[in-house]
Amino acid sequence: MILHTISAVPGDSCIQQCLQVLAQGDALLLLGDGVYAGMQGTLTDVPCPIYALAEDLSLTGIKARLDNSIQTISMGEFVALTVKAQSQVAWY
Amino acid sequence: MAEPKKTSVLILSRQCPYDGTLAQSAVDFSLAAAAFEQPVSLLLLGNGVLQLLNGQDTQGSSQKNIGKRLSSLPLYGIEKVYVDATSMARYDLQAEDLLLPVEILSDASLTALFSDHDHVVSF
Repeated sequence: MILHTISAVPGDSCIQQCLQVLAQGDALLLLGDGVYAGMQGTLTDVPCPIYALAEDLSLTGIKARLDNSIQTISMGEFVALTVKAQSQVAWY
Repeated sequence: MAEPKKTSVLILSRQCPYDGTLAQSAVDFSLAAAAFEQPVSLLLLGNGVLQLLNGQDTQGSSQKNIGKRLSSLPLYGIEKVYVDATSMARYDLQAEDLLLPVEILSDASLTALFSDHDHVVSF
């Protein structure tokens, strides 16, 4: 499992590139400005689970607009994901 | 002393060659990793493929020629340079437009490339 983290806003070319290389068994985490990509209908056809960092969702105020396919996780759960992952790829 | 374990590193370089310092940093990092005899692969993704364009001329500019630096990679033992087919098509590039022999990868092979390496360093 590779953990991909997105911290760029929707429309940034790196999001498209990330989707290009995602595999079914991977995990995708939205953090920082990347959480805006979690708004309903922004990310489609993602082959793996999507997570978003709770504290960044609170900060940006988009909790209510979050797509319901996305799981909210804490900083501690983020750490657990990095431990589980074979490697991490940062898209920024 | 035991030989340290080798760790394969995939270096991901996604930026245009002369926009900021990230593209140069990716080359620096590649050379450093190769100097420590780690197996290194370089993937130029998205706008990163533009770093490999033939005919870059930095004369009269304060910039280092990234094309020349990239073409020296095989001398340092970095033989595995990859680009993605999608970006090659977007810029209408063929293998002969590039200054190094590279492997052009479909999206499915890109996915495999990431899982085949121990570490991915993203620039």
